[in-house]
Amino acid sequence: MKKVAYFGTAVLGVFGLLDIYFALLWSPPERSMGNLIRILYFHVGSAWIAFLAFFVTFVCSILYLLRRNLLFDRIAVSSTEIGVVFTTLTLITGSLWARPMWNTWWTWDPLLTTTLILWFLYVGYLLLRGTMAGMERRARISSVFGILAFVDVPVIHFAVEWWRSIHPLVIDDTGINMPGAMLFTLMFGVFTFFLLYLVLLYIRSRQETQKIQLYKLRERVREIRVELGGF
Amino acid sequence: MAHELGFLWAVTAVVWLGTLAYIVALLRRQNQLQRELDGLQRAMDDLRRP
Amino acid sequence: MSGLRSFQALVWKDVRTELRGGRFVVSSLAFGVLLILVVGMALGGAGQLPVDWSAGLLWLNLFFSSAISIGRHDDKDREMAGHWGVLLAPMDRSVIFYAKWLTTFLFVFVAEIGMIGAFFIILNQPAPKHPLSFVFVMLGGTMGLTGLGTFLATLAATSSMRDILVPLLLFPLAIPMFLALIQLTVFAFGGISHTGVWIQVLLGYLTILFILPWLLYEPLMEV
Repeated sequence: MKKVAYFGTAVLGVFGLLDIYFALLWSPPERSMGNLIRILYFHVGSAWIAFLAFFVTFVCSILYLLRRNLLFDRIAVSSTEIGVVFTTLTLITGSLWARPMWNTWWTWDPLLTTTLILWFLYVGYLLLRGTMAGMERRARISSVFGILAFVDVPVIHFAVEWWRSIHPLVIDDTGINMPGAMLFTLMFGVFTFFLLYLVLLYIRSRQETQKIQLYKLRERVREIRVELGGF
Repeated sequence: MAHELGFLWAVTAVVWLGTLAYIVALLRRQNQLQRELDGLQRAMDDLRRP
Repeated sequence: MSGLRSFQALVWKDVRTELRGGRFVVSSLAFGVLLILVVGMALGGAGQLPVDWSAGLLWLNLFFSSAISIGRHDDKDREMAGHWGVLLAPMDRSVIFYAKWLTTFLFVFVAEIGMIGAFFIILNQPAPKHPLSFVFVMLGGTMGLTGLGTFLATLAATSSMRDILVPLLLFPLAIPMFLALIQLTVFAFGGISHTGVWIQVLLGYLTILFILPWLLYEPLMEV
C-alpha cells in the first residue's frame, strides 16, 4: 500500500499545485464575471468526481450481483463515500457561486437541484449499509439500491428540468464565453480531480479490505480463546 | 468586486481544505485500524505461545 | 403452485389479516387526516390556496403518510415469523412483491379516500374541474407510490433504521413522480390547460416499477 499510495499522492500534489496556479493565476478573467469565473474550475471538478464516483458505484453494484465477489462491494462503498464528500463540496461551492452572481444562496437550477437530490440518495445508501448486519446481505442490498439510485438519476434530472421550465425564474444561466486558455484550465482541473479520485479510491478501498481482515482476525482470536478454555 | 473575490477564496478553501480534511480522516482511520491489527496480532502470538 | 394461485393466496392472506383486525388502514387513515389538519393550521387556516400549492400539499401529505405507514407493511407477517412461511413457498419470489404491492395499494387507497375527503373539506378546496382525470391521477399516483414504497420497505427490512430509511430513500427516488403527480393534479383542478410530458413520466415510472422488481427481487429476497 505504501509505495503506490505515496507515489500517487506525490503526483497528485504536483498536479494539485499546478491546478491552483492555472485556475487562480494563469487563466484569464471572464468578460462579465471577472475573476469570479475561477470558482467554476473547482466547482466543476468536484461535481465531475461526484458523478464519476456514483457511476463506479453503479458498475460495481452490477458486477457484485453478477459475480458475488466482495471486492466489488468494497470498491462500491469506497466510491460512494468519496462521491458523497464531493457532492457536499459541489453543493457548497455552487451555493457560494450563486451568492455573488445572483444574490441568493440557493437557485432552483436543475443541476444544483439534481445534485442535492443525489446527495440524499447516496447518504441514504451509506445509512442503509451502516445499519445492516451480514457482509453478503449488506453487499447484496446495497448493490440493489446502488443500481436503482443511479438508474433514477437521469430521470430525476430531466424531471427537474421540465419542472423548472414551468416556473421560469429571473435567475438564468448566463452564457459563458470560453476562450482556449479557460477551456484548458477547466480540462486540466477535471483531470486533476480525476487523479484525486483515483488516489482516494485506492486508499479507501485498501482500508476497507483491511477492515474486513481485522474483523476476520478478531473472530479468529475469539475462536482460539474459546478453544483454549473459554475466557 | 473585491468583496466578491472573498467568495473565490471561500470556494478555494472549501474545496481544497475539504479534500484535505477527508484525507486526514482517512489517514486517522487507517492508523486506528493499524493499531487494532497490531494489538490483535500480539494477542494471537500470545495465545499461540504457551 | 402456479404463479397466479400463489399470488391470489398471498393477496387473500393480507386482506384477511387486515379484515380480522389489522391496524394498517385505520392508523394510516388517522395519520393522514391528522396531517391535513396540521397543515391547515400551519397555513393559518387559509381558505383559497392557489391550485399550484394545494396540489403540492395534497401529494406532500399522501407521500409523507404513506412513506411512514408502508415501512410497517409486513409487521403482521413478522409477528410469529410468518414471513418464513412465505419465503419457503415454492414459487418465484417476485410474486411476493407483486402481491404485497397490490395489497398495500388497496389499503393505502382506502386510507387515501379519507385523506382526500379531509383535504377538500378541511382545506376548503373547490371540486376538481376534470374529476375523471383526478381519479386517474390518484389511482396512478397511489400505484406508483405503493410500488416504490413496498420495494424499499423490503430493501430496508433488515436494517435497524428501517423506520426512517423508507421515507429517506423514497422521497429522492420518487421526485420525478412527485413532480409529475403535482402537475397532473393541477391540470385536474383546472390550473393548467394541458398535461405536457408528465403523463409519460408517470407511466414510465409505473412501467419500470412493474419490470425492475421482477429482475431485482430474487437477489433481494435471498436470506
